[in-house]
Amino acid sequence: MIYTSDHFTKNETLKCDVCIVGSGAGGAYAAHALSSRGKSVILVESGSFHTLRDFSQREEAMFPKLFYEAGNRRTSDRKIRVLHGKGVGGSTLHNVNLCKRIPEELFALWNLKGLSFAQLEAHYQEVETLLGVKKIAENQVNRANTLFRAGTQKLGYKGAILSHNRTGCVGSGFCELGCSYDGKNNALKVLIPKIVGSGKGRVLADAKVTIFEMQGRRVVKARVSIRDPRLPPDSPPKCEITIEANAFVSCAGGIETPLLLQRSRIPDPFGLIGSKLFLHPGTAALGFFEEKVESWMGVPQSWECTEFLGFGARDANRVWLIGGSAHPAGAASILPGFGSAHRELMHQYPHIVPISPMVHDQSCGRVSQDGEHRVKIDYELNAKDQAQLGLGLFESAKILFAAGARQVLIPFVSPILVSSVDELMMHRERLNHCLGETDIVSVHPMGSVWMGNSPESSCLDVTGRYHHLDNLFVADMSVYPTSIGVPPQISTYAMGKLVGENVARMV
Amino acid sequence: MAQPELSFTRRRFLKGSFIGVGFGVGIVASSTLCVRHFWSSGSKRPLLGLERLSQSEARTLLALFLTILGPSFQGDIKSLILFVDGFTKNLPNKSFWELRGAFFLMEHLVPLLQGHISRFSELGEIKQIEVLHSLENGQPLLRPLFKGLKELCYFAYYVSPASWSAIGYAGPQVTQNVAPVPDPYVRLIAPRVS
Repeated sequence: MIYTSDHFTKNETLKCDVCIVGSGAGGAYAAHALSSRGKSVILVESGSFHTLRDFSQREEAMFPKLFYEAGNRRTSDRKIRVLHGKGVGGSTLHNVNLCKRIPEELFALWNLKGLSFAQLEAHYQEVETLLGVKKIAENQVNRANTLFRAGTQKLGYKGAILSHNRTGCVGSGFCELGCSYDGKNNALKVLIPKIVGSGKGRVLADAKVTIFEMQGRRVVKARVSIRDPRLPPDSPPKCEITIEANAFVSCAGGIETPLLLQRSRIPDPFGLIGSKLFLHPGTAALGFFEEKVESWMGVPQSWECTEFLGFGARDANRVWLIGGSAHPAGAASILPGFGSAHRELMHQYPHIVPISPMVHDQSCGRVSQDGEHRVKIDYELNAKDQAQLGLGLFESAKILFAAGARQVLIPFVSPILVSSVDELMMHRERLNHCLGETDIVSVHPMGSVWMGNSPESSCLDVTGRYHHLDNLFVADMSVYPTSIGVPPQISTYAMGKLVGENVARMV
Repeated sequence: MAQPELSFTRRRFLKGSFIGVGFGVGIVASSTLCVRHFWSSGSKRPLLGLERLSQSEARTLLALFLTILGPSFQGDIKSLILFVDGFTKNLPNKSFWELRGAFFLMEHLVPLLQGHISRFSELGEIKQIEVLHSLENGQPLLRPLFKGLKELCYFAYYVSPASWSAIGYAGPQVTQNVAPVPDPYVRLIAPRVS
């Protein structure tokens, strides 16, 4: 069953075979893999449990419920916003359901001994079947993505309709605020009922694991604070639960997993935990069309352009182009300026088509605990990655013009508003210096507790086990040895499955 | 024992005076700022029934709303300020104190850096616009301050249904607290034992 803060009134101790921290793609799949094999599982989630009636399609109501720091978490220099989901179902509650596997050529670069691409593919297949992954139907491609596709094809660039995990989607376009129609085949819809239904799984919502306690080479307890979500975020915990288990799996995501391990002072002789954070930074170019496009309506992000996305060591470019959409408050924050000028741009809102370049980044950041409650994300977008974003902005603008945009806006502090590609060429060099000039957003923090072959240069082995402890595992976006360049959802489910099955063999 | 000679030269006198005057001005200016801020934020009864923001912060926010939303704005500013006040309850203390710091900087320091002695909320409309323009386009270190405050104002404004018809946005398609399809999740919640 699912237990919320209302169920706990006093400190107590719970026991199980495996304690899993975080109920997103990795955690929920690991819990499913374990509970379906007869292992008792407690899945601990710091966010709340939401049912369909909670998804109100209102930005002001959903941001505090679905994102850490109400969506305002940023890098230390405040130049990149890092969105990180919470709630039972984790980031799968607010994501747009993109399903794209890690390409084999990237996986080969990782050179993981003991994990072959064929093994990973087998996991992918099973996960994709369970989640009902399929290409978006032609009649579900909305007008914004139709224009994006037309521009891509006119220029002869590589592109494709994307696969999503949706069933019963009504095309409301409110995906990033949680689905009111139960159309997302996400962790909440597909996995949580299975975990609960197995009779072996308990889910604790409003429950934050503060530390792991160790004895020798084993984690023996997780200390969990129960907080009432109706109270301010820093209110004292209602009570503390102690969970005793044979194994522990951290699936709290690319930011919270390294923080939990650091807080717990687990052995880290080479100082690796949290030290290799990738963000997939993205920004947007905005096309203004004569027609009303209403890009916030329908399935968002059904078309991709992969012309400039390379994964091999010799590939010059690493930028993925994807459609975008935003509800009014989000759109207003991207548009430059203020006062009358901003108001005029907002009046064009139904005519705007955004295309968002996202970089398969090589810049490497660090996440660390700064005081008891502070999160410190140090990440500087290097010149090469900025140039990739610049390329992405330029090519997005070209695609928008090819699709018929009358003007394209690059929303820099000093905005670049142009009526042709030739005009944009005059600003080409400026596009390569976008840090601090425009909104840069990360929705895929990853790689901060990564897999590898040796304890000197990685945190986890290929089973997901932490090198320096016998029963601590990680199964979330942290595990990737590099940026993966594609949306991580389906890969993270696959990692949850892989690690969950490994843990099941051990306990 | 011979006393060291006290050479009280004109140069020393002037140097000492400059340092002294500098310190004095600094202390007086910073004390004035602090006293002015804390007097107005702490000693007066807050208007509007604010729960988190002080009266002084509400004044800064009011000035920001009027400047950022522009002269043609005709909506209910009071409700926007109350919205921000309520929304801050969702923020961790760290973020709330950063916001308070941002209001303080905007009200006192930013105008001073641009040569204005008055606080931001007391500047005329044109000067307020000038201050915001130079903040937006100026020092990269201060740009995030502008960006953060601008986002806050537009967030408060554009989540309000009153703003939607002007931009052609129909708003949510569901009624709050009513699931449009049968809700299969309620049954997963464990029964509560009294």
